[in-house]
Amino acid sequence: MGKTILIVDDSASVRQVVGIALRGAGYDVIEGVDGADALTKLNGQKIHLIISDVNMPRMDGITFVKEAKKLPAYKFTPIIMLTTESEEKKKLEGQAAGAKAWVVKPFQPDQMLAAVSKLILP
Amino acid sequence: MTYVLVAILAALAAGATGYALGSVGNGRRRSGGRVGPNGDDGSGLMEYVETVGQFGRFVAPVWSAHVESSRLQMEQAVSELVTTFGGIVQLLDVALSSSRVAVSDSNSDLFRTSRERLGEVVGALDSALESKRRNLDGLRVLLNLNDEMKKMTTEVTRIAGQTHLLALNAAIEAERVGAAGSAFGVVALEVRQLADLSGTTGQRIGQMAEEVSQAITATFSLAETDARREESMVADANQRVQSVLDDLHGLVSTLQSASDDLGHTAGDIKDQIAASLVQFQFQDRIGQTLEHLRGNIDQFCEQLEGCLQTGPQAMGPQEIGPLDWSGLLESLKSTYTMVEEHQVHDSGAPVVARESEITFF
Repeated sequence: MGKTILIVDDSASVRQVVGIALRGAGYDVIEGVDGADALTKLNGQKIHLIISDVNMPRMDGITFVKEAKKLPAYKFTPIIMLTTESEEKKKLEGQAAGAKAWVVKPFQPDQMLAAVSKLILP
Repeated sequence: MTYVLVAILAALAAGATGYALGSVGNGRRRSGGRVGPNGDDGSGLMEYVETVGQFGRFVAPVWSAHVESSRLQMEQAVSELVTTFGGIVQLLDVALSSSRVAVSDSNSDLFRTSRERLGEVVGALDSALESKRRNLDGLRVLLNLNDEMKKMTTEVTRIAGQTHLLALNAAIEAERVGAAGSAFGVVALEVRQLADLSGTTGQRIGQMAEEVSQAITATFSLAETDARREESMVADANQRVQSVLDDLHGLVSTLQSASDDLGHTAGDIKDQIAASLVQFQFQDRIGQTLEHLRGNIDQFCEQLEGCLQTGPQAMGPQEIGPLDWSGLLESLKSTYTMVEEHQVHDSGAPVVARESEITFF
């Protein structure tokens, strides 16, 4: 069974593009349309890595990361922020929330897969 | 389009602000000495203010709606395109995998069964030819035995001749001895007759052996001719089988080569589509910029409405508040998430999107 990655982004096209790259590399992918929706996906199922946008309606990515880290089952799940934000202040917020990497869009699939491969849980 | 919108909004805001600023205080005109659009002392100005208010109420919201509608349409269209292209990539993957398996399996199966079946045919022909060779060997043995028999009959005939001479000499000697040799003369006569009979029988056997020899030789010759013809046929069959296999191999190789070419082309197409999918990320960035712009247009409308809240008909020039263009710009700037947005804002010129960057914590 492949490893599972949760993609959180309010842009359907970004979710699809990331999904295609990850599925092509053999990962199973589940999707959340924003932070609030993604929290409902953290229902105990094994998730090996999370890729999240920052600016989203209802619940932004930084808040989502903080909420996810409060859940014991996902406390150590690595999180990659995938966003158009490139301000240092925002990056520091992401790092403080518990993110392991910050990828500025547009991402290159090879780079993303390398980051995923480096961080994903065994 | 966004740059044009910003320029128009800025110009209108500046115009409206200019009038507003020129109208407050002691009713001074603008620094350039400009009067109201009709050149009068107030009614023209109020008419202009009214049109600015209408702009804020009716025109700017339409712009905003168009921006939002375009953003949503683009998002939907790009999403569908990504789905479609993603499906194509998956289909190409499946087709490539199936093609590789089908071609390689069918090749090996085809050649294996073809070789086996054709090998069986050639093997049967070889067996028949081998059987024929054994028959020829048997005929050769018969021919040799018959030659031996011929030699033996010749020997028998020769011995009969010598016996005949011996008996003749014995008869002469018996005659010369006289009455005492008469009995021996009878025996010599009988021996001579037997020798004659033996010679005749030997000759007949020799003739028979010669006929047998001719028959065997004729049969051997026919069998040898048949064997040579069959050898030639088997060799020809082998050649034809090899030719068929070569043709088959050539056909399959051509198919394999065409399949490989198609596979490579399909692989290239798949890679190019996958690479082009990455470019669709522009939608997310452009969508965000349009959203920021739409928000700012809405803010401008609200600000305009706030300045003219009592309605131009009911208020005097001193009641019109100034428009905060710099606040509006700052508000727009505060919504930016991308470096490119800041660069465009500061330079007023288009910029190229930056490459991706990744930071590990």
